[in-house]
Amino acid sequence: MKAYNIFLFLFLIFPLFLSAQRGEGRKRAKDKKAYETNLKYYNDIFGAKDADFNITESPAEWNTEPIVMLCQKIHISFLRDSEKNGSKTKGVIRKRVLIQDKAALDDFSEFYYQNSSAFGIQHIKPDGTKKDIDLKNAVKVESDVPSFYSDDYHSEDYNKIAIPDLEVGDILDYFKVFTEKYSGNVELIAPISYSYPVVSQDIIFDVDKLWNFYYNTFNGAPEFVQDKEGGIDIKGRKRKIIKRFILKNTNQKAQKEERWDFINLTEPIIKVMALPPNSNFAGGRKRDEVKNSIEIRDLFRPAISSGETAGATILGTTNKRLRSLGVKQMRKKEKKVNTIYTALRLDFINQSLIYRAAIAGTPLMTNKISTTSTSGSMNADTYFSMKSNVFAAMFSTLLKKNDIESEIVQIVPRYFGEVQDVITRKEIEYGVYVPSLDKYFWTLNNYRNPVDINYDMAGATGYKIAKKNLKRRGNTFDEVTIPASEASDNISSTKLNIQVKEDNSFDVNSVFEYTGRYKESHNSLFLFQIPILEEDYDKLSSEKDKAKMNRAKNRKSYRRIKERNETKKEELSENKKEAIENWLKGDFELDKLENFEVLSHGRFPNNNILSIEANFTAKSYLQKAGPNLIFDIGKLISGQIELDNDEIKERNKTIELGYARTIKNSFKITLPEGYKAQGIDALNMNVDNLYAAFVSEANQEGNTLIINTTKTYKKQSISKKEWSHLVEMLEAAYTFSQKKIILKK
Amino acid sequence: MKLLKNILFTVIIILIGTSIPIEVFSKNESVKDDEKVIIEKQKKVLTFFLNKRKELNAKLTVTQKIISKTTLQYKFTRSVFFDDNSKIETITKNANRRTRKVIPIISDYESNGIFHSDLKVCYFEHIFKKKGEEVMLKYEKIFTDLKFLDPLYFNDYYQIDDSEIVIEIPEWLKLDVRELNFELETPEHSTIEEEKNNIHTYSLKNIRGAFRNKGEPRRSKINAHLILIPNAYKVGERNVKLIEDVEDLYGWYASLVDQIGNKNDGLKELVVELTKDKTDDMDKIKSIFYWVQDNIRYIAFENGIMGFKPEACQKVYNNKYGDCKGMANLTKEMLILAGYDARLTWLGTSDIPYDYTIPSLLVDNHMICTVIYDGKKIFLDPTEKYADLYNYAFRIQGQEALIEDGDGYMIERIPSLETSHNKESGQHNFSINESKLEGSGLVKFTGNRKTYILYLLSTIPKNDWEDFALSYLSNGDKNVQLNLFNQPTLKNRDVDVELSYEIKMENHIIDLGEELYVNLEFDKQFENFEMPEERNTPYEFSGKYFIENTSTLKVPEGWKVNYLPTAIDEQNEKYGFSLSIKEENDTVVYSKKIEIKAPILDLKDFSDWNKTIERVKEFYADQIILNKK
Repeated sequence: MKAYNIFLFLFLIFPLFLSAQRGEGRKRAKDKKAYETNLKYYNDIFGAKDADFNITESPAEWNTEPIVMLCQKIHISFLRDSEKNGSKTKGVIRKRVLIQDKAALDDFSEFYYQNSSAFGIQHIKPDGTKKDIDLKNAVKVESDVPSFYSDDYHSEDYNKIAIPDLEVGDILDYFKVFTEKYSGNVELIAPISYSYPVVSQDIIFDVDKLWNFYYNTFNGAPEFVQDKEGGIDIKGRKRKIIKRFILKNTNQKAQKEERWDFINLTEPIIKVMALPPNSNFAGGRKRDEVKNSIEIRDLFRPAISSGETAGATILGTTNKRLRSLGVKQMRKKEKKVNTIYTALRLDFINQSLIYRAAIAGTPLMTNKISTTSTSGSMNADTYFSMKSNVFAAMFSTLLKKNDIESEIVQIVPRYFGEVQDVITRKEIEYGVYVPSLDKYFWTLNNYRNPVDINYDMAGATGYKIAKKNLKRRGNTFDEVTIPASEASDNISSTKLNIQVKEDNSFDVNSVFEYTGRYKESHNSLFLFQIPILEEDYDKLSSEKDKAKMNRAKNRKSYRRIKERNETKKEELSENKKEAIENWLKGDFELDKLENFEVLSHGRFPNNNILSIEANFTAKSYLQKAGPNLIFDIGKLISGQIELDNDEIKERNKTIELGYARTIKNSFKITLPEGYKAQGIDALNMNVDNLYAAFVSEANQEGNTLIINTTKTYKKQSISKKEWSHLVEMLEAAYTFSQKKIILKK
Repeated sequence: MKLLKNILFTVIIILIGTSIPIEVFSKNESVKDDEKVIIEKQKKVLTFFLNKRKELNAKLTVTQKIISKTTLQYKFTRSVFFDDNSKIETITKNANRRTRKVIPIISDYESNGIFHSDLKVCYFEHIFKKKGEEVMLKYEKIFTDLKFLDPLYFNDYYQIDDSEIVIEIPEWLKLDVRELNFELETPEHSTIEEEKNNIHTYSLKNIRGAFRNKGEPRRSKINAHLILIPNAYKVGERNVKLIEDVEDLYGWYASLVDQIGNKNDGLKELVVELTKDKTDDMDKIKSIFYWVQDNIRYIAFENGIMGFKPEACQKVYNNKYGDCKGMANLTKEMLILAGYDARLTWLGTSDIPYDYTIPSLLVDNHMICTVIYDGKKIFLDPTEKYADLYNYAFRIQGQEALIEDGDGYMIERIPSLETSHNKESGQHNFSINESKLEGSGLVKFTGNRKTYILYLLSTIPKNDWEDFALSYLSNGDKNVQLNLFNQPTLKNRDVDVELSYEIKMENHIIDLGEELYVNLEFDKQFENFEMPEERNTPYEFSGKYFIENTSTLKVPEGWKVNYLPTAIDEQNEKYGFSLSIKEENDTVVYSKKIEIKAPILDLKDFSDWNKTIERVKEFYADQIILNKK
């Protein structure tokens, strides 16, 4: 009976099993065929026959480099699949790397590669023996992959394989074929220099009929040359109708890293944008457009138009708020504009929080009027920043509704280059200019004050166009350069009032003030959402709305929520305290933070300074030196940049400081009774040149020591030949930070 | 041997308890991460059963009642590990009076240092939304091969109010239960004898969260836990023997060694080549040992049985990579070809506090090769790159080793070397020139310190060696400028590494006109090494240290010594700090000797240690005062 049952069972499942086997078999056959097709595709492009990959030796000048890329070729095709009526991108990359160093050998013994349509590694010994690496023991990798293996062209999961018998002097020659389905367009800005030298490299783009392709090279990279013979179509056939662009580059040195470098302006790079046929670009459906530049003015109207659509919901809310506040009737233009900006900021944060809560699955706002009526997470500030085209569209619309004329500016941030260098859409930002105030306004984030400058835009170039002319064709675009930031726009100020205690530890009362870039980078440390939004609502709600909120506040359900939020605020405040304590530890020999208070958050125009007062205790500044005390006084200005000798001697690139800035320190130190400071003359320093300054003054009045230091980076960008001037200042600041004085009884 | 698998187990335990806060405050939370939730009650129940094939299996059921202590939202995550010899079943959570099945995410576990293992992670989470919220979490882990049974710990990443371990031992099972570290934490133990089971219950209350502190010793060294060794079981009248003693353990290891399939013919030529010019046996042994160190890269595969079975010598040789077992086996085969008595050797590194009185796989995590020459044993660890002969790595010193011995085995303890064997010693001679200290320096590295430096060099491109050496010697201090007279090299590991240089130090002199304040110290070792008051676990150093430095200062013409810092000499069985500055014939001589003699500082040592560090700090800051004559 039992045997019969087993037989029956086998009989029943056998057809299924067979069918599953057939299915699996068909899949394997299909996979194999696809793999072979891709392998042929690779061989047709630069496979075994490509003589450029026969190179086996590195030029003598690179013999001491850990690795040398003997040859690498990147071939990307933007293709049309006429059968499926679709578009896709197919890539082939082949690299041949020579291992010259033991450390590199250890790195390459575990070789990483991405899931690809076809992939292979060949291991070549110095005597020419070749061996294909068997990948059957490869394992999937989910953790970090060394940066060497990532590229800008391919995004797939990684595997790793241990390479047997790898020795110094060996070559690994590997390739991959891959396809990418981009949802929209391809925008690529990529250097052609790397952390290793390259003997020869080709970057090839094949562009199928109807695809749009914009390309160029910069900073000394060789130009793309169009190959009259054409490129390869989706079936691997060489056809003249496929446009081929080739960049050939030889003897590319390894990148040399330097601090304060805008790599897009200094390293040889390519910029490429590929748009599938019929893409909506520059105000129309484009086909077959191939250019080595783009006209950014053509992108103006579509960007603002899509911004208007995206911002429609918030626009309605803010418009209502502005009406209830009677903004249109305000007399002072400046106040009116600033109110519009801050109201838009409030509704943007609120909307973003609702959105965030929605995607997290926890409804955040039970009552849209009041920010405090939350039922979900308000643990911490989430940084929100509005897309600049959305901001420009909304803000200019709101200004217009409130009778303020404005112009929209289209700007290329300096780290991307200048207007004529733009190839991709991501290089463009938008803002709003109000001529009557002669002032630029930049996109919103949680904290930005309307009077703040945007240091990314300072000194950048672009165009501006009047809002009223937006819908007309044939507008005139005025060229514009955004004023560069001054050292006085970005100030970090630290004031310490120090009392030395009997045990030589310090009681410190400190006030920190930040503007501009410094404010931006400290906002999220010191501020948090709940009180911010409470103040925003208080400032930017009409009396009628406030009354409505008050009525809501009397509800039992609200009181419960309010109570819970108060507890959360307490815990958040404790969190902040610890965060600030950790931050202070970075600069001072902090023992304990007693308390802190945000004196001003700098989010409204009447005060754009972020100011914090903190009381803390510190130790380790004073130590016994024989019968006296030694005071590690230089440490009070915190860690300074330490240039090494090589860096001091040589600068190869323009110094891109990002923004001009000032760092001020002011210390008032009450010494223990009966002590007098000696050696303070060494604290008086004055290095001041056209580009930078470090000035310090030390005075003693009774038992009070007063020290003021100012460190200034006067320019946002400095030519490399002026490097020594910056070095002079940096070395002075470092020297000050190392100074010690003696306190004698 | 499953290389490092036992170490990994500790990592696993860390991860089991790891919870990641959902919000950006993670770095700076005030309610500390481990305090955000507590486990009010944890219960682990281990039962044994026979599967359909009458093989012994075990089921561990873990339940935890977890309560949120934060008003903020908190993501509690749990990663439970399993491998080819275990599986995770039935994960449920009970929250808001509803019990739900949890669908975990399963993925391979990746660990630094292990290329691939069979270890998998079963990951699940619960988001706590408010303070006081409770969740009851439950999961079951089935062990299908009881050689690989996990040790049972009472503690967790989070604080536990009440932790209970219940072991139900059926009458047909002979189980060896070992209680470890019960003298450090004191669980209560009770036994109930039932008709068919003996039920052992252990409980421990108010347990602090584990893995709180930097440098915390492994749990196996400081926390109470149980190791369970099933010795034998009965199926009907049949008695099935498992591992009962070290002989059984060795028997299992030996059965794997029998399956290796070494074919050492291909190695003969290499062995001849390596030894042909050598007449001294030690030179021959060295040449083979060093060749394996230098030419076989350590790449660890811990996949299933390969975690315990050495790879054949020919495969490791051809691949030029292997794990500790493969490298030890290759070394052994090459030495045998050269005519030496070489044997495979199992051991647990210093991470593992057990010895072979516990017949468990948990005792071992490493394999080396032992050569018996002239009746003496030389322990060769080819994974220890740049180690010279007899320079045993700190991690294997003093550890018990299980060595092949014909059909049997022998157990031997690897010698512990004196602390002074691992030394970094320096000599600096300074004079004063325009308020700067100038002179020459020489630093010598010996023993493990030398191995460490050579290994570091091997991991960075040769182009960067000089920069590395300068940065190491100057302690990354811009005030200390060096000019090397000789370049570091990896060529000869049998001699000490010596680096000599010209040295200039700025900002080490305060010139007050009639007085000079001079400080010769620039390394300040252990200056910031106080143990915080709130620390509640011992501190484990990475090894034993011996640092010795002498600096001299020529007193300038026309000046005299007015003050010298008071010497320190703090010595005990765990550490020693001896710092002094003396005047000898117009020269000031600063001598520094620091010795870390024992790897673990216990809580009871902290107070004296902190006082010592405070004095050391004061000494480092104190000044030599010179006055004009």
